[in-house]
This record gives sequence, C-alpha cells and structure tokens, in this order.
Amino acid sequence: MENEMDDLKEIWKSAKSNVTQAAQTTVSTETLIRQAESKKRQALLAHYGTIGVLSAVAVMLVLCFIFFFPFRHLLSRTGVALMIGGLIVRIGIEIFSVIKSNKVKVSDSTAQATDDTLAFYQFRKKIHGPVTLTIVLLYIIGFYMLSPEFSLHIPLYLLVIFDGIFVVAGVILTWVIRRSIKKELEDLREVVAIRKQLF
Amino acid sequence: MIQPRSIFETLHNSYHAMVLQMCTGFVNGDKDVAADLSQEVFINVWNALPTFRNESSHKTWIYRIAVNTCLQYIRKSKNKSRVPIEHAGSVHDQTGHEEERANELMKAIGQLENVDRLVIMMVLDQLEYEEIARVIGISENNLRVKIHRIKQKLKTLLNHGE
Repeated sequence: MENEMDDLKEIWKSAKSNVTQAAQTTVSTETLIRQAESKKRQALLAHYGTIGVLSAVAVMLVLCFIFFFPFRHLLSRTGVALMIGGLIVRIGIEIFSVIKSNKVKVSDSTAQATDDTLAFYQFRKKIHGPVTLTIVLLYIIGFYMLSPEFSLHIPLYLLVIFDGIFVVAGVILTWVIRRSIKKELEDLREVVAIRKQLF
Repeated sequence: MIQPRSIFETLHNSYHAMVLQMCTGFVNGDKDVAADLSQEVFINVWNALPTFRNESSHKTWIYRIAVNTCLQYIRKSKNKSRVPIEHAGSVHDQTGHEEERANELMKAIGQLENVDRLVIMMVLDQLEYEEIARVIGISENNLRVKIHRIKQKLKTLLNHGE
C-alpha cells in the first residue's frame, strides 16, 4: 500500500501547480487584507449587534417609564420590573454567548476548535429552551400588567391598538427566534458529526 | 521588526497553492468555491496573525486555519450539494494520463468523510504525521490508526473507479 501511496503523493504534487494555474483569478494580498478588515468589522457587529439592540430597547423602556409613563400602581411597577428584568437577563445571556463564541479560535487544533464550537452551541441550545421561553413569558405578562393603569390615561381604542401591535410584534419575534433556533440546532448536529469523525 | 503585511504577503505567496489544492479537494473540485474558500482561509490567516506565537511552523499553523475554515464552510454554506463528481478537480494543463489519474484521485477523495478528506490531503502533501496530529489535535497513535483506515478506503474507492 505504501508504494501506491507514494504514487498518489506524486500525482498530488504534480496536480498542485496545475490547480493554481487553473485558478481563474488570484486575489492580491491588499484585497485580502481589506476583506479581512471588513469581515472583522462585520463579525463585531454581529456579535455585539443583538446586545446593542436589546440594551437600546431596555434604555428606551426605562426612559419611557420614567419620563412619559411614570406608573404608580404596584401591579404596573411589577410589570415594568418584569419587562426590564427579562431584557437585562437576556442581555446577560447574549454577553455570555459572545464570550463563549470568542473562545473558538480558527488557529486552534481542529479538536480544540470543534470542542469550543460544540460548547458554544450546547450553551445556545440550553438557553433556547425553557430560559428563552421564560423570558418571553415574563415580558408578555409584564406588558399586560401595565394595561389596567394604562387604560386610565388613554382611550380604550388606543389600548387595543397597543395590545394588537404587541401581539403582532410577538408573533414576528417568535418566528425569528424559531428560525434562528432551527439554524443553530442544524449547526450543532454538524459539529457533533465532525467531532464523531475526529475521534 | 517585520511588518505584518510583509509576513502575510510571504505566507500568501508561499502557501496559496497548498491551500487552494486542499480547498479544491475539499469541495470536490469546484474551482470557484475552492477559490472563495481559499480566500476565506487567508482572511482568517490575516485576522489570526497577531496571535501567532511561533509554537508551530507557519505551515502547520496555516494548515490548522485551512482545516478549520473548511469545516466551518460546511455550516456556513447553505447549499451543501456537492459538485457533480465527474467535474471533480479536472485539471486541463496536465497530460491526458496524468489528468485522468489526478481526476480519479480527486474524485476518490471527494467521496471520503469531511475530516478524512482533510487528513488524507495533508498526508498526500507529505506533512509529517506529528504535524498532522498537531493540526487535528489528536494523538499520533490515533492518527496512525485513522490514516491506515483512510488509506484503505481510498484504495477501495480508487480500485472501484478503475
């Protein structure tokens, strides 16, 4: 078998120059560096984008509840606490996710990179289950706890519109979350398959 | 002190052919995808360059990045369908017989599992077992067993192709 392997190595060696010649374009190092810098920016945006959006929503809610709708009833205040609390927990989870994902280094050995990727997806799988569901539920309950006091200050039709918009937003959000969960679970299966091939 | 740009340029010039051939083998001979994938490898090389600690040779380090980038490609690529094997690695500049043998080899490699495909390409590129073990992150003994198994599979695939 060793002789055959030596033959194959020779074939591989002679094919190398032809593979390169057959490549239609060779990108310059300058272009590659520009692409790399742009990729780095995009990765940062992807990593911290969700955290940024969630933080902005939390800050907006806090400002709204302080300056525009300073709720006085205990029920409403509990609702505000549930909504903002849920968001803060979610922000914490996203920060932890980024830390886990930053552990995956493309220059590590395949086994190390695969294990770190697996740890990341397993963490994501854990938070996609009861944790996400609880946070969403707390947020919804918190929102509807505001309704009684809200209804004292605005006409009923506006309250119905607000509640309606909230339901639509909830449906869209659920669809987006489900889609991302499905994709991440597919990724998890791929990583598990690669790990099986490694060991 | 040597500038990162000049190190990168040297690495790109020295290892572009090696990476492109590996990517071509990994994507079953699809030249366009292989070119994109090899670009992705060098993009990752540039971004990881500040973390290079001289603990391994540049070649081993680039192999690590190439292997991981190829495996990430499976997840990133939505279209996981493979290129028709008939087109695999067709290399027109070689003589007819050489071209046929190179295509047969590429075709056989394309039928191996993802990790096996990458391991055997490093073997064909005459990387030392010790270095391959460092790239993959498994013991040399495990690697030897693995390579023996892959070689047998490859032999069967090549013989069936005849």
